[in-house]
Amino acid sequence: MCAAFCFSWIVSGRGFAQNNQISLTGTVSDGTAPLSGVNVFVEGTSKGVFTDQNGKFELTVTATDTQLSFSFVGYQKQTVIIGNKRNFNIKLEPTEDALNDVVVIGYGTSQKKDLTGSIATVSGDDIKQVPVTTAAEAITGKMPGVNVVTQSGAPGADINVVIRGGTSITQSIAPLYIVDGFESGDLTSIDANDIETITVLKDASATAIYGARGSNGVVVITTKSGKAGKTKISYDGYVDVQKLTRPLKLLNPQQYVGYQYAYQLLQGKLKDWVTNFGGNLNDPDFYTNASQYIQSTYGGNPGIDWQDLVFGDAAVMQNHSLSMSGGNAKTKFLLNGNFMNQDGILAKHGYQKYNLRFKINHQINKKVSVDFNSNFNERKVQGGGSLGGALRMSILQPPTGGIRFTDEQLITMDLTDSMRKTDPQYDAYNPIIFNNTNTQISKRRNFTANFGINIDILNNLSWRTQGSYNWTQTNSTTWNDGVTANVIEAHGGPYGSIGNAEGEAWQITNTLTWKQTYGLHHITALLGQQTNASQSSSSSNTYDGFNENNFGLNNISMATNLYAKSSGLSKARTVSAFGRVMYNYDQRYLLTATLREDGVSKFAIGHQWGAFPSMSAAWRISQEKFMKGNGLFDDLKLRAGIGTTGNSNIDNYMYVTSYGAGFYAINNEEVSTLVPGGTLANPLVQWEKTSTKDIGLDAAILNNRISLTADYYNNESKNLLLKASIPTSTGYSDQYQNIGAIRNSGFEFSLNTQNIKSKNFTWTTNLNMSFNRSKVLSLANGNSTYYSGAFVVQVGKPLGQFYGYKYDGIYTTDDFTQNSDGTYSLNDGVAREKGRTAQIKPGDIKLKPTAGNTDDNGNPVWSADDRTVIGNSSPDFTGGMTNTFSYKGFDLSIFMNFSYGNQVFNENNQRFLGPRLPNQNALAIMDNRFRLIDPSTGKESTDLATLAALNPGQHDPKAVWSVNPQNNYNGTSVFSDYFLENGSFLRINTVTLGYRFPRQFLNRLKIQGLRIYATVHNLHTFTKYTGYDPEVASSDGVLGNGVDDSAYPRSRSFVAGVNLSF
Amino acid sequence: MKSLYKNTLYLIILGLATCFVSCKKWLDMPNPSAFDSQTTFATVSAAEMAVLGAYTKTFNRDIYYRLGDGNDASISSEGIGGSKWLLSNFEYSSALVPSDTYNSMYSGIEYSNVCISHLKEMKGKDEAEQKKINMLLGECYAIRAMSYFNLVRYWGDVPYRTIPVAADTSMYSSRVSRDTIYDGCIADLQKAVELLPWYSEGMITTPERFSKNSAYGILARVALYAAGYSLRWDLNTYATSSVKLAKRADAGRIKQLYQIAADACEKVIKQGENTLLPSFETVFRNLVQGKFDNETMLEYGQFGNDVNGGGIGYTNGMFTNSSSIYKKALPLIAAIPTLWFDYEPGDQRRDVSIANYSVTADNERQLNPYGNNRIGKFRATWMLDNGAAVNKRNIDWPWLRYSDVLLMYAEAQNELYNGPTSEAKDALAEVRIRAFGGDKNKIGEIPGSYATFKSAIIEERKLELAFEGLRRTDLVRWGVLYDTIIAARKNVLDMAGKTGRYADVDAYRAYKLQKATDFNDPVVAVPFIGYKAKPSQTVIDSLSAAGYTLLDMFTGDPAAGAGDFPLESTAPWVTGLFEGAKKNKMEIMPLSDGMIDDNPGLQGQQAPGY
Repeated sequence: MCAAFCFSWIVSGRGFAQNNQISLTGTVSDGTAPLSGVNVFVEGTSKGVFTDQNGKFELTVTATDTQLSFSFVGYQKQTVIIGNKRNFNIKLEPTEDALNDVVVIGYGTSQKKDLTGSIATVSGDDIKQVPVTTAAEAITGKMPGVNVVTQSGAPGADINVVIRGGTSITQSIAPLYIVDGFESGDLTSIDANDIETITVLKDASATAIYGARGSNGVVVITTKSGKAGKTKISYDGYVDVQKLTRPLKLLNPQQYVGYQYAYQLLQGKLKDWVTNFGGNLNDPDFYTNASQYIQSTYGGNPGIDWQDLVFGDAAVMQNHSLSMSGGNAKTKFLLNGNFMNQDGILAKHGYQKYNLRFKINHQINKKVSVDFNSNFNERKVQGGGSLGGALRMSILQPPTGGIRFTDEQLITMDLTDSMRKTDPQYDAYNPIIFNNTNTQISKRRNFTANFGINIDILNNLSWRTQGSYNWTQTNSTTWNDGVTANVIEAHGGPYGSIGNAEGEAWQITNTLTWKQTYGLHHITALLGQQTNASQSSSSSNTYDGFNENNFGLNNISMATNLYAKSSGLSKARTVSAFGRVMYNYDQRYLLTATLREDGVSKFAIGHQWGAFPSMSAAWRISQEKFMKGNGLFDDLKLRAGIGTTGNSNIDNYMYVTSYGAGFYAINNEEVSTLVPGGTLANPLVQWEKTSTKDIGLDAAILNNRISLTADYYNNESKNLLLKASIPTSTGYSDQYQNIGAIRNSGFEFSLNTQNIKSKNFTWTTNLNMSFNRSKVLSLANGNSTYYSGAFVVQVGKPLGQFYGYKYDGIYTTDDFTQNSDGTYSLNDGVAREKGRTAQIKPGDIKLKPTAGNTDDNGNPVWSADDRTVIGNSSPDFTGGMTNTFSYKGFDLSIFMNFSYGNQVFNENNQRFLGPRLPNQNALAIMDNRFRLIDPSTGKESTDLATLAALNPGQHDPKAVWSVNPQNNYNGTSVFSDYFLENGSFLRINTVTLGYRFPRQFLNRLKIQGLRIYATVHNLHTFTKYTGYDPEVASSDGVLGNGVDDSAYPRSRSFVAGVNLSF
Repeated sequence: MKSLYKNTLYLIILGLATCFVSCKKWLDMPNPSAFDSQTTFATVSAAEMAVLGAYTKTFNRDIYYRLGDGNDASISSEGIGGSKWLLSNFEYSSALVPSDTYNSMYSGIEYSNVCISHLKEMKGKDEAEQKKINMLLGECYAIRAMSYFNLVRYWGDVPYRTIPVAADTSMYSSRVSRDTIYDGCIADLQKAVELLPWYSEGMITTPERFSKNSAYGILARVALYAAGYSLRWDLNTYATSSVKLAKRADAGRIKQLYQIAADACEKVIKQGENTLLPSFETVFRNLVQGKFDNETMLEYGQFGNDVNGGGIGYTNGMFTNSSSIYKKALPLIAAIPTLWFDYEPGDQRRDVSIANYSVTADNERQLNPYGNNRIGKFRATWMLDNGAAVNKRNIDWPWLRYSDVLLMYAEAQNELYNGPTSEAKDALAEVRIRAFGGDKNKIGEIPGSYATFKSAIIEERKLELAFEGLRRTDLVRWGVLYDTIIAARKNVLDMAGKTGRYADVDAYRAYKLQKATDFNDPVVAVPFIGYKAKPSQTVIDSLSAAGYTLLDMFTGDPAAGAGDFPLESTAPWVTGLFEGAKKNKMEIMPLSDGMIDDNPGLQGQQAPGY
């Protein structure tokens, strides 16, 4: 195998020098003004120069050179015959269609018309039109088959990018990101302003060149380079104001106090209620007057709006980019700086980013050019993405302090200790204090350097070596003032932790590219080799036992106790060889074949190597003679491809059991032990392999006014790497296994139309939609089912199935018979929980038996056997639509994205409905609960007629249960479809109105371009979802999508910005 | 220029070639920060660290808490409808049953299996080292046996594996007859007692590791369980009709098991290294203060931030208010109100086992109403400090005490000879004499017949070992859980109604509200003056003049934050007591949904009735 890498290149002894030098000169313009930076080259070679500021060039050619080409981004390439001409006046026409666009593919570029795989792109110009903070936002809804879900609305929140449904069940389905040829972990370290293009490689014929890492798709990002010509300075900036869109509706004080009354009465603890809300238990009329008392004392009280106090602030974000670029035909540079500051709507949450990129390209001589590209990025996240505690506490917080506390006390003090005097388990800490007491900062610095050298060994043979280095350092600190009860319990006072992590990655890539044309045969061949090495280390310490006065983490020598400590080091390496041949005959028949061989250190010896081939072909029907001259099709291309990619994205060292440090206590000391972790080693663990089939069609008609790209694909992934739950009777909880196979198949299209095109007014529309269907083909060792949280994975069924009970409403009074002694009994034949012996009351939660089990008396019962598939988090289709209008200097763009047919598990509802613990608030729908308490007596009624009269809505299939303590567990811990909601939405994502000042006006100010704009993000979302926002995910795997687990609410924001260039 | 290209090219080629001298070596990347199974067992000291790692998995809080609660000594004080409340009141369901203990025990078993397989291969370089290896091997056999014992006593027939999972053909496993597992445990412990040194040999420093002494004690415990009752069913059919509370079928083996238990206890008694401490109070003061003695023979070590998951003194402590010097101890386990009256006058164990007071925010010792009595054995007030955190109080779990060995000896003798031998009577007497402070005259008559002696043992084990995590399963092995629970429930209702045995209990008690000032608080119980009915106003006035506080023992106010538990027959926590009790069902835990979901070998093997 190794021999494959130790290639030795033998270069033919053909001389470099040529005789018969001919000198050519000329000028290039767009008809009105000269164009600088135009690439002028001898066709079929890389011999060439760029035009200067005045559009002039000089080039020396030989007698064998026949054709001269002129190419410039945004203009059609023009080729002329040299013949005897020595001076050329060339006028370039702007590009009308995108077919000649150069598209970045793996380890190279290609013209769009020559592509055979499924590829989608977004250009930097598109990104610039609408302000975004990350590259991921820039592609949201813009590309078919690429689903982008921001996990929450938090500043710096993680973003899930999923291409064609992903290829894994439990592993990350994040695509591979390649930034300027370098494998990069994430998108967040790239400044959106730096991006020249984003290309997403979707099918294996495009991704197989990335072998072992390509199966979830590849996102290739190319950053901007300097352009020859006058030095250009540009400034882009915007200011953004954000505001929470939809608060959750909660019980008002009167409803809350009534809810507490019912709760405590049924727990037999009305004494506690009296302590909190007043009244006198010894008063003979206490019970009968209770509901009157509650209304008179608490009615009309608006209560404390905790959500407004905690999340209600408007948050400001500002983003400024300044860039400078220029150079001459030999040397070009670009310097771009960016600063971004984003406050969160929750205090102490925020995001700051600094970015500096420097890029230089230099042509040493005709044969050799070098490029250097470095980027420094610093991101500071304060608070972190999950809302976790703050949301929970804001919702559960009492809206009134009753007779014990004033609103002001409730808002400004931590009353936990006082609350615990009546309710020992009280845990709804003051969210404001809780939030303010805790300072959490994560600072991440990232430095990347790329150095490349290109050598044109021969006219048609070029060599490129690229070395890349990436350094990441993350410093995470947490400081807690130690004033809240929970922290005092655990740490006795302030505590803090300091974590440092450092990662380094190297990559060396060598490629040899050969381009040759024999008549109508065009061949481009690539041979390459790549080596990657990475290591990451981390250490983290937590300290407590601080004195009252201290400098916090600035001086940890004041801590008297090292509370926790850890460190680690991990290394991984890969080596690869790859090759690609692209062949086309007369631009009509196109063929691409690739092969990559990867070796990865993550697997045991003997399982380290994998080969990943692909093949694709295309037929440009529009180039056929019989199509020439037809007035309809400007382009018509059929594409088909197959290929295999891999995924080795698992933790290091999973093939061997590692014994890590643990502790046991002997003689009042902690002694070190050695323990294997919870994950069992698997020496057989190996590649995950995905084979892809893709059939596509590209068509453009009516002078390119309507263009369509459509693809059908079928991805089958085998040997899926799963961190599988294994029986805990093994002593471990999970193991990485190559189990299971899934299939993702689907259809996607992108349709671009120029609806109106006149001199002053244009209207274009881009619509893209994706229809993905997944199916599990097999699971571990012949198993048919795999459970994970709220999900079940079943062979033959799609991914994302929610698994739980079917909610069957509540027990109604019709389910009971009144006994002569005033009590009631449950009727025979009514379903009940298996094994339940406690009394069932009207208003208790009823779940639907599906398995047909009965108890000894023949009554239907439900138990774990009755859990079933109750919904799906995968949408039927997703998509986006952008309408762009321009009128003179004005531009208006409206971007909408949508998702249809998916369901969301509203975990917040499950958590915030209750009954759970006393003195905690609940969502407003709890007021629709089944009432067991007769307000005329103030006590629990067992009279069925009374209960029926109190609860006219009891037959509603979504009726809310009573606060009978028995509903505590079933209501708040059992997952049923009560908590599933329709997650379909149509979001008016961004609306941007811009104005570009006319050139004549700017010329006077010596300004090249000026545009001002205003944008509204998240203007409105049409959805039936009752939580904050239906677009949620609790993790980056398939089994986290559609779970609303205290997600930070997505806010609406208003932006004003400017693009300015000199 | 021409040569420049060539030279550059050659350089690159050379660079490339050197990069790939050996791919194989390049890709061989052992973990730079952890041992693997080869390096771990390369030296005896590293092997010992692995054995100590197995110890950490041998205990889990649920053993005394969610799985052990709900008997005639302890009940849940959680809010009604909460998961602990449901479990304690026998409302088991497969969705509710906790799996932490199950998971922890199997981890301990797997770690032991790995250690055993490697330790067997190790050879000591001299006699001392070989002895050390033997000891480590003995510890692993004992850990494995005790862990399986803890699984079987709750879940009955469970998966049984005695080799490392990596060496097994499948990770999946089905239920294996509990008799087979118990026999395996007995065999393991018989090996362990051969391999382990006596405590006196000094090879271990504290009872936090197994010695020959404690291995014998656990051997006796396992043998008694193996010989006792449990809820069984036909493992071939899982038919509901086959469910019965029964002993194993082979009577000969049962007799053998009692012999094994008696012999094991006798070995410990004869060795003479372990004794009862003169004062019952000292046993638990020592325990919470981290001191070791001759009575507590096996403990699960708890110390510091990393090894303190047992919640001992917090989950099962006495109530202390968060603002007191002892900080928060919010036990969710209560002493059943009637237990206080089960102790005879003069029995010193009562006030040690039950905390009759709580500590208020002002450090006052406030007398508890009957419904608020909590566990006194693991009380924070006797500690020397608050430990690592309120819920990490550095209190060891007492796995085995010498008094247990004596009681097991008495029980085994009674079973073997169908009546108490004089040795049996002496052993029971020894425990009772210590309970009454060494006063032989107070212990009453030791019964002479098989049945009466057995009843006496059942009662005595409650009084001696209350809250030590064995009561519920002990009642199962005697086949009396249901009857005992029903009787206990009736007793509580009788007490709430002041009838029957409890017709004459104090309705009010007067006591002096005094402050605790420091750790190692000398107070065992708050003294009081009892009143059968509410005293007259004159008496009340004179009491208050003398500095007394009067407390209504049935509905009086408990210490702030302790929760309100009025002992009234209509109070929901009383009416709901043991409401799920069902004979031939409650005696075993169902497997949890997760255990079955993850293990196809257990599919279709849920205990009948669940």
